[in-house]
Amino acid sequence: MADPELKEVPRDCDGQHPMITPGHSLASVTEKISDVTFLPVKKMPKEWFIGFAIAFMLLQLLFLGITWLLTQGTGVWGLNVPVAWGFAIINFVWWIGIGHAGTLISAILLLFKQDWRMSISRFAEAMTLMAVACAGMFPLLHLGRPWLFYWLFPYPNSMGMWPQFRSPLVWDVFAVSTYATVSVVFWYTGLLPDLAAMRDRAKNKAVQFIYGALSFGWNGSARHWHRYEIASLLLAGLSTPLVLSVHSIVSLDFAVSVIPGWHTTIFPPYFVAGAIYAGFAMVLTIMIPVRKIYGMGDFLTERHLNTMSKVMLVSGLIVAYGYLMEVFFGWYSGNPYEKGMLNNRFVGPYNWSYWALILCNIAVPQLLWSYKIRTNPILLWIICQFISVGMWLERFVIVVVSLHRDFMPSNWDGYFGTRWDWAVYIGTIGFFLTLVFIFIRVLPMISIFEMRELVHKEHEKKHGGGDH
Amino acid sequence: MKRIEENTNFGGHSDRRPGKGDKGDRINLVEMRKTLQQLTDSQESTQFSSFSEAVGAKDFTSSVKMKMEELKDSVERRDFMKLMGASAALAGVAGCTKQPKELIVPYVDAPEEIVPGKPLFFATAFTQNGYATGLLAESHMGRPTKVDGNPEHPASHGASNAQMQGSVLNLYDPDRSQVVRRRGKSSSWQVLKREVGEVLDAAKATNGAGIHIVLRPHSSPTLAKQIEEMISGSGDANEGDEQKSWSDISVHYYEPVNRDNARKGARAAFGEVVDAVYEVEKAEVVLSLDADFLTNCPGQSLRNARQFANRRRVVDGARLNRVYSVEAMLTPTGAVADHRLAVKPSRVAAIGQAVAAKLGVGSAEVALNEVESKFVDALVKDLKDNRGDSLVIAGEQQPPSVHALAHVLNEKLGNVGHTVNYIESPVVTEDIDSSFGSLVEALSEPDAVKALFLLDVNPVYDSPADVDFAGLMANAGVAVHLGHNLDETGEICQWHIPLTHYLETWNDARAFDGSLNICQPLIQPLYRSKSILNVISFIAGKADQDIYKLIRKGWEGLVGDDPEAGWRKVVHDGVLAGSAFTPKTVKANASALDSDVAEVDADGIEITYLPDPSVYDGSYANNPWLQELPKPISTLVWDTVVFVSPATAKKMKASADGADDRSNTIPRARYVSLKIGEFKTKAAMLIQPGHADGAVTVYLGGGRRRAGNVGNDVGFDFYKIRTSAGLNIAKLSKFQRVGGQYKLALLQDHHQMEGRNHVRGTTVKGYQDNPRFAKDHHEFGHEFTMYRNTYDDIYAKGNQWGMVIDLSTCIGCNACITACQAENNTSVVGKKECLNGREMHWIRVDRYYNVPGHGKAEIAENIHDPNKVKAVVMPVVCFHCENAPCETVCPVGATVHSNDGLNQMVYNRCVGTRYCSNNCPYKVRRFNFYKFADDETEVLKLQRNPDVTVRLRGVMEKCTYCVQRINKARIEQKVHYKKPENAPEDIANRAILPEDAVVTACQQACPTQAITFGNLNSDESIKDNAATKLDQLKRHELSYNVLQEVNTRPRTSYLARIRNNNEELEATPNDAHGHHGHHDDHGHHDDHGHKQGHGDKKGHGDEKDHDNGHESEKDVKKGSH
Repeated sequence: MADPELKEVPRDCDGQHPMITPGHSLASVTEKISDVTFLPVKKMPKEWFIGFAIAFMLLQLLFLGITWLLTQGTGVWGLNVPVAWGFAIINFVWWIGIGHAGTLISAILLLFKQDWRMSISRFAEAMTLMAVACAGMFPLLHLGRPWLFYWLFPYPNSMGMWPQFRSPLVWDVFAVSTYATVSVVFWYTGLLPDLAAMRDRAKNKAVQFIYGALSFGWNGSARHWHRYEIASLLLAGLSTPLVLSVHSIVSLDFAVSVIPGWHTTIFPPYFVAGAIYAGFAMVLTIMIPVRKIYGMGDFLTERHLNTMSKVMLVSGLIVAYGYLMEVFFGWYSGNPYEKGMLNNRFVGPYNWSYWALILCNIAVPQLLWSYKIRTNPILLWIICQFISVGMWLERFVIVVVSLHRDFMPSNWDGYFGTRWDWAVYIGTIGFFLTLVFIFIRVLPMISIFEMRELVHKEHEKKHGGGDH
Repeated sequence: MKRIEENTNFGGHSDRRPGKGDKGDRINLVEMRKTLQQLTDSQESTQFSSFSEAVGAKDFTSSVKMKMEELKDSVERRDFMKLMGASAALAGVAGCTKQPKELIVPYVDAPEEIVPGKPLFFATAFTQNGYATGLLAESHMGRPTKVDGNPEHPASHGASNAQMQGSVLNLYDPDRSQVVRRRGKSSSWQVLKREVGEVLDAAKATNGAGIHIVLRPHSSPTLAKQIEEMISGSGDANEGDEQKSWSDISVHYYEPVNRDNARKGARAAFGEVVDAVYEVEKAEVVLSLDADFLTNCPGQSLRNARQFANRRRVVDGARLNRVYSVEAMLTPTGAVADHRLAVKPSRVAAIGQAVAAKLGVGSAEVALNEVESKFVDALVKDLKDNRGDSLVIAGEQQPPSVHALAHVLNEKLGNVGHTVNYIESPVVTEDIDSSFGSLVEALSEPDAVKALFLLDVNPVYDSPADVDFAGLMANAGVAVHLGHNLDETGEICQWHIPLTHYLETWNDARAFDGSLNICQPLIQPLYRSKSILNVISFIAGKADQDIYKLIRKGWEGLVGDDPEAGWRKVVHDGVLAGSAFTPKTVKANASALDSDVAEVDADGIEITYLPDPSVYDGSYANNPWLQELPKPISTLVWDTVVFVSPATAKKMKASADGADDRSNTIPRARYVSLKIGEFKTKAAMLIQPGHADGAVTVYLGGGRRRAGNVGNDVGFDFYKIRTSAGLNIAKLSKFQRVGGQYKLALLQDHHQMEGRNHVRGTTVKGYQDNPRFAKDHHEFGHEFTMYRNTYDDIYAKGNQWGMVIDLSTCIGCNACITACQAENNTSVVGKKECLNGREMHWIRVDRYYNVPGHGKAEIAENIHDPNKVKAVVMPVVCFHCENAPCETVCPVGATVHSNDGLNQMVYNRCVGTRYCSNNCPYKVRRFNFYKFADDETEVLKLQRNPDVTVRLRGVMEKCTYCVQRINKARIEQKVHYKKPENAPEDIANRAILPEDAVVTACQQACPTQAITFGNLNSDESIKDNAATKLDQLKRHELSYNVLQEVNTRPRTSYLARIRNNNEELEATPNDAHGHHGHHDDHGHHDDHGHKQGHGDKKGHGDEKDHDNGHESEKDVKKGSH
């Protein structure tokens, strides 16, 4: 069932939906987007309150889980030998993957001049930051002695010790912290013009002051715009390799090891594709309800759903290729341990996770070949849930199912997450959602100035104007 | 010779050393000594407060007094714990010893032999079933921390078993009983002497009739003499003695796991009780009739294991013997036996009779089935071929008739005097069933028993089910219990006396061959405990005797002409040389054989009660090391369960997957109910492949109510269904599955090798056909690297440590596990964490079931046939890989490689990413998921090895190759090293250690010497022998590396297992783990490209390889019949 809001919208001259529903003027765009932030509390949609309440409760679960973990020890989780990594690493990789969409959208698509990215970039970037914040928690909590996490950083110390640079965990520290820093800077830079717009529209003195302070004195002068454009291009250039590097390096946590199921060269590209896959799914997961609740269909049109679905389909197929190659390599290697690993995935005690993963990540997303499904927000949302679960299962299969049966059968053991594993996992979802709700409330969720640019471009296009 | 200076630290007076502190507190040693002397004279004992009283540490004294008051008012264990904490703290400060009465020497000039940080070793002995095994106890500043076998002792040869290793922890058991108790409330020895003395006085008139003493069989000449003198009223009189005549006193011997069967069997065969002493090493063919003679042969197990191993060390060119085992339970002996026949326990006699009949003794006509008759035919042929060089051993739990049969067979085969000798039994005992029976009889009459002394026995827990001992005790006048813990029996006795630990008191005992041992104490009693000798001397009416003097006096005639020197020597050696009994000439009476073949009930289920391999009869139930020690073969911990064969389980609709694969979930066992007559119990069932069908086996020692905090309610109590009529083997009147599930903690969750080649082995013939079969398994013929191999340069210098484990000799007894735990302060984690797969043992003994067949279905089918299941074991320690996968992935450099080839763990640096564990292909690393180490219980601190860090929460740990011992040797070497005259300077400076300079804890304990550890770098220029033993082993054709294909270059390698099969029973080599007999065309060419650890890096390695190969091949050929 297609969204009725979109039904009547005429097609573009190139046969596609427009990126912004016609009829919007520069003023109406600013008004519509910034009004969400300036909405009086009484008029705020009740969905926000319900959602925020739930998210905030789940956040408490995170605090509880972390407190228990720190007081008792890593043993509260279901880990053991041989499965010494479990939920913490699965969740870390999962969140980091989710955090990929934003930068991809704002950086790579910016460089490729994909205008449709404009309506979703702000949102996606914010999500990236939140996901990275969630992800960043896990490597710390995961440590046996979390209070010593800073030993992973190279800093001059009285022990005369440096981190051990051969370890991919040290690479992780650099990759993730660089990614987080650049993403924050990029996102904030992009916010400046809008913060200024908010400042100008604010009626409350205090609010005006806060937005004013945050906007660093942006006044929209040509010089500002000029510098802004250069800065954002540079940052996009800087971010682009990071999009590829972060998850590649995360994948090296596994690939450099000797464990069958980890020790494989296809991990970097296949992890990056998986990250984009998961990231887009998460952007859609949040975007579809928000668009509905706040009536943002004008800016987040059928065109966006369609394009994003296509990205998911492609990245999903790359992931599927990765799965296929894993099987092929395992078989072709003739290595008994690799074969044993595959056999264990297919028919071992955790085979449910492998087959569920295939279902979620490969089978169900094939529905996206259909245009109707791609543009049906509800079905699309459901498919996104499959992908999110599937991507979590993928990490479960890689981490747990590879470890629980490795070389020597005498070591083999089982693994299940305990209630505290789940508490921390669900807690980070609460943390993520809490941040999302706060973001929606206090910052323009769609880039106002970019939408205005789009209005201008659409106008030009319609009236036969040439390129700039 | 105690440390007064240190002792002033009591109660926080650390600054009150002579010359320090204010004037009033200054210590006057002369004054002190005087005060002490007065105290000693005036009091019956100088308990821990005495010293501080002497030095006038007032607040300390008062605090202890307060504690004492508290203690008197309360009987809660909690308070005992507090007091224990206090006393232990004192003991710790005082170098863990309290002041003996006799001698006080200020520590200003330290005793010559004590160097802080350097342990001392004292010879002593451990006794079980009355047999002594010589030990060397390691003492750190007065605290015994570890025991190991005494190399001079005939029963241990330097080896030890898990219970010996664990016994040191019993000394520091926080739940140990600490004061004399009267009806549960704390009292004193003085009060006991007064009150119980009255009862004894009253019995004077009847010459002691009505006084009953119960003790375990023992072999102490002093105790025997003391009892004898007590009864006869003879012996020297001392001042203060009340001479009494106790001619009608009753002395009973009781032990739940006893040797009645062996005694009766010997009596049936020879007309008198003798002990069989085996010479396993001399036997070409050994037949075990349900005898687990390698791990459960009272007094002789270690020696048997050592001798067995001497005949199995293929690399030494041993002529392999051949072991046939007929048994029900799959025991370590059955697992290493060349041929094993699984039969119901009652069928063992019939098999033995069939063998006898074929050898021409006895007239029994036994109908054998196909498998049995094939087995018996081949066995008899082998026995006939090796007349005089064979040996038949009967299992302890088998009825006397089987023991008699074994004696007759040994005589018929001409083995007596060669592979078996008979000696007078060194153990002082009676037949326990009648001895205990007479006690029960006496107790069943009201008021017949005036005083009952239960010395180190616990019949309320472990008496036969049909004896309600607790109920009977109501008829006893006054009951006095002497025990380590306030156990089930102590709880209901009027009086309870704490028993001294064997490391706390002087004692003497005899070994299996009659050799006399002195057991010397290493520490003053931690608590107010008494030994059996103390109690007997009290009953006898002697004034408090000094046990030391008592024993010394008894030994006067034994130690030679110079009593002082002789005594010193025997105390030093631990064992009196030449004191073994001489073999007796006895004639077996062939008519002792039953001609009736016992009918075996085909449908009935038989039960065998065996002592638990860890907690024995339950005495060690409160020992966490032993509770967490995997039981051999099953790897079960923290439990005693019913072992059932897969087929028997299947009949009850319990699936065999319980035995097959549990790597997914926590194993959930089914419950079964067992009934014998009116006695029944419910217990969990463990499906044990290889167990005979129609029979179940249970380990005793579980389900204790009053063992202590560790042992309470661990496992199931099978004494509840163990009746006098069938103490060892009985018929179950009902055996069925009942509802509910139970979690079993097995340390190994997956039991099949899945076609992988970690444990490699073949038969003698397979070895002869392809001597390099173990190397054919390597996935890749040679090492491969993209880069120049730098390891050989790095590791060519200095000391380089390595280990070789011989799978032909390992019997999987698990002694190494506890030895490692004692040496390395390894934590115990408890059943719940074991279920979680978080056990902390640094060494594990893997066990795989070899079931023939291809594919799951066929294997599942064959696992139901106990005669098709074989088990192989493989000890696994850290491999100390030269190219260690764990090291490269640690982000903080907490695990690094040392120059001498050790993979080291820097606990302080570890942040706990656990990546190293994930990346270890052998999974030998252990993580402290919680703070497993108990650093709060004071008394436990005393046991810790001061040379090894106690690891805390969040830190990874693993086997270190006992780096503390390596460093000790290195320091010694540096201190004492002298450059050989003609050695070049650079080599001399390296101070290379001799290859056997370091012995690891596992190696030291190993009864079969399956573990060889040492310095691989035999530097030819400074050594006479170019190739060291370890070099030879590493270069041997049987040597292989596990997971060589991962390119880890492990320093721990294995020697493949060779079985000496009888070709008639098993023609083709088939160990079901690899391609045996498969000739690789490249087999020999491999030599050149093939780097085997260290050995081959020297150019002439190949040549040696071939030489060794041919030699051992020849020898093995000789050995095969």
